[in-house]
Amino acid sequence: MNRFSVVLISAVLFPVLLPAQNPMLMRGPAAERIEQFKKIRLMEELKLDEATSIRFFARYNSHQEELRKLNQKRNDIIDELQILRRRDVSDAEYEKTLQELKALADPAVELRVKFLNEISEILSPKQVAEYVIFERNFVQNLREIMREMQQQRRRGGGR
Amino acid sequence: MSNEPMDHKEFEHLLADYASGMLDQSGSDLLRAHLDHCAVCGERLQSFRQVMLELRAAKEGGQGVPAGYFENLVPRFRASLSGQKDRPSGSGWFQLVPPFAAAIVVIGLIGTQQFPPDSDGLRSLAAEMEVSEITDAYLSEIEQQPMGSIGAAEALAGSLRREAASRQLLEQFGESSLEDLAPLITVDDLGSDELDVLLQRLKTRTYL
Amino acid sequence: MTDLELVDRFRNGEESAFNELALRYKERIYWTARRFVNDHQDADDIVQEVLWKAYEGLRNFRSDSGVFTWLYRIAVNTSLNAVRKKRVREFLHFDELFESDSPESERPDEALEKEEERSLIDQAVQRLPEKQKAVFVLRHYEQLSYEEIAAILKTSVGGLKANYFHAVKKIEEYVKRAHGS
Repeated sequence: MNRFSVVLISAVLFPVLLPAQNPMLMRGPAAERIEQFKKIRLMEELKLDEATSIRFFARYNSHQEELRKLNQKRNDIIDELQILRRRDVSDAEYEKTLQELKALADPAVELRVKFLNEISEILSPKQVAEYVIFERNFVQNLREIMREMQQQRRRGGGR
Repeated sequence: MSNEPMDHKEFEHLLADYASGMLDQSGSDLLRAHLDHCAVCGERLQSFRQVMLELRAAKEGGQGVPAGYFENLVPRFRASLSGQKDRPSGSGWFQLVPPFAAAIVVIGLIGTQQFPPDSDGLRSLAAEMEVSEITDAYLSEIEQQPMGSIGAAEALAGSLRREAASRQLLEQFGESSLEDLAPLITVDDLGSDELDVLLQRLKTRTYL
Repeated sequence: MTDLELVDRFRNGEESAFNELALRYKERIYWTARRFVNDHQDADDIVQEVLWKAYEGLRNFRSDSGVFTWLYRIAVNTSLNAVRKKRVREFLHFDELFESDSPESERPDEALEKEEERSLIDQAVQRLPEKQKAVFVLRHYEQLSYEEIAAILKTSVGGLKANYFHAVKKIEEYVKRAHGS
């Protein structure tokens, strides 16, 4: 892998190195390290070559950003519902905001399908399947380890 | 401040202290030099200053402490020392629990499940414990189950034993630490050592 | 008289020495608790609990940390415990399981009114994750150094600045969202 490719892959894998305006910087440092590990491991598991990695992670990062925005919108709407509650508004006002929440359901599904379609252009069907399995198992593994560490802390075996 | 060059994140971490006027001189100098060419941090600093203003306003707005509260605080405590054998069990809701109700909940659970051989020992342990300790054990067990369901018999027994042991620890207070009481909530709450451990464990897992 | 001198006197049987310590720190203990639970009654319960624990534990107090640090640690731990129990209790609707006609028990609508009276900024602080809240309370309200905070929380200094930064950032984001900006 030549130096140019390493720099290019790094820039795509680790957007944290890009200028400060990158929204990835909004996440905590621990989450970013875990995300970095996840990407490297994904490359290994799917056996992605450098060209495919660059293209894959460009789409992946863009997808993550869209997911984050959608999630943020969802949180904003729920916060709005909390504010409405405090103001004791009419049913019509609640309905209006709840409609906005429901309207997010389709875009969420569409985003996911769009992403799978995009990566299907650069990965084989087997690799796409492996990606989906990897994502699910990564989250499960992370949760299990967090739970183990929590129990260890309680037993006094932590830090 | 160390002599190593700082990365952007380290500058960011100074912003809150700077906005609240708690950053030392050398830190302030370094940060000001950074702010000369970082618009993002400049904007964030303005937001943080606004937050600090609102925090100060909230503080000055009064907190509703009843008149005479502080004058009576220690005398009330002394009265409770001489008037009660059992120590107050914290929040008012514990006082609402009938003396045997919590014990019945726990012992009832013990009765309905498969138990380790010394279940009689557990029953007598539960009978010896104070109501607040039993409910602490119960709550602590529930907290460990993601959906709040009652845990396995052995896990519950473990909680009871821990509560009995912690009673002894209370006599040497100062052993408790934040780590013992505060569960991990998000990955951002992890210390750097713990994060290293987490990453090591992630490396050993299977993903396909 | 220093704190350690008071501790020695208490150990030698002088009850008034404990009173003196309690008088010195009662307000700081109260306000620390109050920042965690944001309710006077809950804070008072915590203060009483802290005084009990201090009274029971002072005989075995080791002077490797100062009395002030030790008391703070008890206050923070007791406050966090209270916050967690409140959360579990609300999640499980314990107040429904153990009904009481006690006038002290708060009805859900009263609790909601109390919540509304709290300023937005107080709500934002209440929503912080536990460690960030602890660091924020001790740094911002108690104006303690990171070294003091590390001693109280029995953690290392490294990472505390980040905790404080993230706490303020979360407060900022919460307030911004509530204002719709």
